[in-house]
Amino acid sequence: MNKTIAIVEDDADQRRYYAAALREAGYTVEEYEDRQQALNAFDGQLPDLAILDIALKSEVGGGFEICRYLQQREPKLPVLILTSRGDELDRIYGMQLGAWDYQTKPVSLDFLKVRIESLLRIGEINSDNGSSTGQVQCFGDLCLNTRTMQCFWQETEINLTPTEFSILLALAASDEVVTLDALISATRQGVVEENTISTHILHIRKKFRAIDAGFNCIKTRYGLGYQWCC
Amino acid sequence: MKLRTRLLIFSSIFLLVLPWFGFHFTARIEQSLLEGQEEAQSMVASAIATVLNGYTGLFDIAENALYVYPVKTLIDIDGYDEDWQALLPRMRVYRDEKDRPVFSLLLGDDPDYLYAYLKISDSHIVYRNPRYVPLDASDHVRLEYLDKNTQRHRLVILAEAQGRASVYEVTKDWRYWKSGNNISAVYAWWRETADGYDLELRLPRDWVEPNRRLSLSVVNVFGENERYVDTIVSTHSNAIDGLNPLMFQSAEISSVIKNLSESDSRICVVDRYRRVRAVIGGQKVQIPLCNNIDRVSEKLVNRALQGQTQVSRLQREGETLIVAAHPVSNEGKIIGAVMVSKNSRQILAMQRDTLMEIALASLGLFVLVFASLLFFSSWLAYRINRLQKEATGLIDASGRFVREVEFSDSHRKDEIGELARSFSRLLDRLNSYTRFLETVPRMLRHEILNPVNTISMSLQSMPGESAPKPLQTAGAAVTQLQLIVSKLTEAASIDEALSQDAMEVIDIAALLAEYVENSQLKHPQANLCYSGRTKGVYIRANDIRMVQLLDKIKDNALDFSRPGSPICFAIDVNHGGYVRITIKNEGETIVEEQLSLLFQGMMSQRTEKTGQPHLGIGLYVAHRISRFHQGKLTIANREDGSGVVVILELPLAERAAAEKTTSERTE
Repeated sequence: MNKTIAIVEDDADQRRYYAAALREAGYTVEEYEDRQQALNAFDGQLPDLAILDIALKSEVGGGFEICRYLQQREPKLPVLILTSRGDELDRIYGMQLGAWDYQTKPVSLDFLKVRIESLLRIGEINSDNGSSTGQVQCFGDLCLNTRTMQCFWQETEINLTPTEFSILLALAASDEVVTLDALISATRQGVVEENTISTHILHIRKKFRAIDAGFNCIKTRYGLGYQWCC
Repeated sequence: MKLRTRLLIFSSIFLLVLPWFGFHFTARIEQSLLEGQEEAQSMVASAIATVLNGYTGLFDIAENALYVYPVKTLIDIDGYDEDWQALLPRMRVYRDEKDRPVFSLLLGDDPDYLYAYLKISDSHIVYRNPRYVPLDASDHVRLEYLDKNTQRHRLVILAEAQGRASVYEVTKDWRYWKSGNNISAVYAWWRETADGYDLELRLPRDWVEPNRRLSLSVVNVFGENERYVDTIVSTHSNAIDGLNPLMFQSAEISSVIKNLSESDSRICVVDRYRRVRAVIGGQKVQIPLCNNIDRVSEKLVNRALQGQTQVSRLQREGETLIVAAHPVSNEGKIIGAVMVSKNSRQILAMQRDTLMEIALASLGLFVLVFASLLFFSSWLAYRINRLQKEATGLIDASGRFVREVEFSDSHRKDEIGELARSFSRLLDRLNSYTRFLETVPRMLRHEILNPVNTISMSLQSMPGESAPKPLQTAGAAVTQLQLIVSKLTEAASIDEALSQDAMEVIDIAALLAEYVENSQLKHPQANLCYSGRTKGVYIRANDIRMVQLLDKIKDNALDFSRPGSPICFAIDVNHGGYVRITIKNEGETIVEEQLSLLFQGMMSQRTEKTGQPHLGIGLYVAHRISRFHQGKLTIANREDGSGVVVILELPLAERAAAEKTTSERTE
């Protein structure tokens, strides 16, 4: 069965490109240009995944509103926020509202397809009540399921965003120092500010330390990058 | 000096002047009160004089009248003059026809008796001898008076020796007594002195009333066996039958002016012979006037008797005595004078009370004003401080607004409220401008990234595995565009991002050593070197930001140095509370004028294209980061002209914080 993907984006050209690329990949795509249109449609049938821009026409935070609405209706619905607003605050706010991932524009269409695929997959697994099958890679106490993007530290699950998961996977899979450039490409985004990676690392550390205060496996290699060292 | 202190000092100076003014004011009041008193007394004197003008008879007493002084002390009849001491200067001297003084006399009275004191000069006293019957056969004193029936009585006072004298009433010829009995009602004492004898006597006061006629004569007897009267010197010129009028202080005058008198002032009336005729009032105060007329008063009396109205102030035993003198006249002829005296004790007491009140009121006022000023100035200072604190608190160390502009004083209607409001308006405008500036790059990014995204996606949608060259170029240009936007955004939001960073104590030497080592790995073609300590230099910073800062400087150094030339990092802690990191490279120098502009952003010296966008933003970001860490970033040409040196100075962490970090590390 074809999955339905809703795209809410006020820029017609971009919307068309996303839609074309996703339709090409075999998804059913619904296009909406503003909040009202999208909400009207969602009142009837919810999509399997939603791609939201934050600024919609005159509504500066229209995307956030839709995200909140969707999460209230269906908490397990994967939401991908795709925006040109790359501020840390916006990012945190989006995640708090329940967005599954937050990607800043410009985004590569190929990357978008891969990311949507994994989000849908995670969604499926979650709705199957976590029957986790797939490839699990373990690095000491750390186990990563690359299919479901699940992360376990000392057998406790840690909820990471897909981007954070990609960074962690890149770090854990390498014995050596992973340079910032390598980490940037691991997030499959074109141009990323160096500090974005640092911020992601910060968040990953924070999440690990929440369950293991002594966690210190991600070492900073000043001037080079980061290293998983446990 | 603080506002409060200054205000208090100034106000104190002015407040202290208040009592001084008060003192002067009371002095003026005293002066005018005294003047008023003088005037009032002068008027009283004038009034009394006017009243007395009609009573000519009271003053019209012959000059040969015998003045009877009112005696205040108890007179002991003993022949000694102690009891008369105060009146001795007033003794009247009587002389014989050869103008030799024969005797002097004082008369006094009290309600019961009339007293007389005589000092008689006699080179040879002849005492009475029983052999001689006639009473004029020895030295004696004759006293003559009119009784209430206008009957004339003649008394002879004589003695056989010193001591109590005998008194006999005698016949008209003064030789024989009428009854032979000693008149015991008259008490007299005879006492010998160096040049004669003194006689002191008293007789009942009512004997002389109401005619008040009396005369005294001293009779000197000569001879031992053959005794004869040698001289008779009398108070009356007609020694045989003249009688002197007695002049007491006038009861009539007293009754006339009684109602004008007050207990704290004394009225004294004198006749034209300067004899005190009446003394009224003054029971409450000690006013010596007319008791013992002193020279000043006498001068006053003289002047008044010459027709002048006089007011004068006398200083007596620390008190000011006001004396007004006014002549009493009758048909243009001055017949006497009135003197009214009053001491200024009351006025002074009033002045003292006023002074005390002023002092107390001043003190109270002083305390009150002082307290109010203290409170008020503290309040003002508090408000100004609060305004300052609130204003300072609005902006963080890097000049960004951290809170909404709001001042506690902005609703007040006074100047500070106005200041707060204009402050608030000013900061609001500044804030909105800052916000505008901050939003510009973000909006710009938003606006640019959307079309860039579109271009990027259209390029990606181009069919074909290997894109033709123009498409590749377009793709590269889009990436370039993204980089530019990303760098611009980074620079624009650096302050905001910094303010959210967590600061901790880090070992900058260890970080730098590792950084240089890793950078060498990252740039194998570069020639990096490091000197200085490799650990144990602690600063308070965010390590990611420090790396970001170092990256910017390193990138700059790499870009500007000759290929293969060394780029040397050095750390030095011997700069007070600062650690100094220097990065030297060899290559082109920078034009002096541009050195100070390098940190302003959009300044780039690059002449060649490196494939990277050069907006000159790197050093701007580095500068903002160092500033956020209270550090100082400078860039200069090396002294030998071989290249450029960048100096970064950062404050060292406090010893305690550093030690804590060290111990944590070692654990």
